[in-house]
Amino acid sequence: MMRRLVLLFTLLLPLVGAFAQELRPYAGATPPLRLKDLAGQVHDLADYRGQVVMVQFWATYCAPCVKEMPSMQRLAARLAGRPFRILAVNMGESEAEVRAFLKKVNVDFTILMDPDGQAIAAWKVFVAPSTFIVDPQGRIRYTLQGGAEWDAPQYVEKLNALMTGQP
Amino acid sequence: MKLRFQAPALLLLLLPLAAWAMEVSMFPLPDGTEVAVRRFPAAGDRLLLWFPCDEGQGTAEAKAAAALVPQGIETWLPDMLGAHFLPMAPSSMDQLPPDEIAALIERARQTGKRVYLVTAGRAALPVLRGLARWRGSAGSQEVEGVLLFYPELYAGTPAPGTEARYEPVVHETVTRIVILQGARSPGRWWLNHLVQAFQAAGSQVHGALLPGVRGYFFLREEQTPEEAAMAAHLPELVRQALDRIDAMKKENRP
Repeated sequence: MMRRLVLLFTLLLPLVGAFAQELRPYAGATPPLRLKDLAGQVHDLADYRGQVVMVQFWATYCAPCVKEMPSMQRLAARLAGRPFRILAVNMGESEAEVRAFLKKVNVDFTILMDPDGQAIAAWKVFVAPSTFIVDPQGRIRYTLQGGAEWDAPQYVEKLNALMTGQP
Repeated sequence: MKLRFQAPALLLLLLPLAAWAMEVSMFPLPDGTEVAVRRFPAAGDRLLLWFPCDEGQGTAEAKAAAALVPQGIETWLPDMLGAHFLPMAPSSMDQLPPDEIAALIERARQTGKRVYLVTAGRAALPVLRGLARWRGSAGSQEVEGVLLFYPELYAGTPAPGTEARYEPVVHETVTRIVILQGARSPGRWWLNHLVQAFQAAGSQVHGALLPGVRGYFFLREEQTPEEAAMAAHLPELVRQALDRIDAMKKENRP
């Protein structure tokens, strides 16, 4: 009986990953990103060279954005101490809305504010959430449209590969 | 001529709405199918051809239509998805034949009233295609204009970081257009982009953001208080859009 359960689990396990979205390779230009966080500190993507950066565009009214945030927090925790950062760009909402949201959703990765939609336009974001994975050389390497469980093995492997300079 | 059995079901569903002076008619489509059309007759010279994308059960649209009757605005609500047994999905909208939309526009024009098209979301695609098809055979006739709520007119969902392409009909449409876009949606950041695309084709366009609401605000089951309030103002939003269309027409007169 136990052997059958193990076999069934082994057969079904790949299907779990099969429903997750694949990161889409990106070969276009990387726009600049220079925005303030909630403390008013300016973050420039160029200052994160040497690290893999996950730039995610999100909004409080976006249900998939809210759903994926815990997985982003788990990912950040899992990769703590590694050259990896998350920059979560809020899409044009007020600080009050974002602060109220963050009281309910416990995350400690960096939240950036894009009040005028300049980054949304420059990065060509049409759907929330939209995520860009930037390599240590400052180039966007992958994109993902829609929500994901970011601590899933398929994403962690890709991020690890970028951090260690693998092709 | 085929009859669809959705008409009796529709009538049962809509009996509580009978107090709104609504009539249900079966209009023939080019392929012999019939489409159920909820009609809200009114005495004035404006006729809205309003295409809901919800299998004909749009009570929000019906309530707005009923509220517009005392203002002399007649409304027709064709159940296009129901006529083809299509589920409520963006892909279903892409399948609606332009000929059928064109046939309904022609039927509306035959009343002698000034016809305005109204729709939302992805339904904007078949409606604009139908308008283009109708214009191709209508000679110098025209509809007064089109009201689009949060239109979804990308040719495929644009991937992050790529240039968005619109459906070809955006670049072929020449009419007067009002676009109402929810401010709490990613689409708000591309409203001007869509306005400019329509303008480049020759349309007169007015785009406006509706504060505090997401897309599909008047169709959502889990409305926020702001969305419920805005949905309650749907009749006024529509009437103001019609007035704006009429103003654009006057601006364009030599």
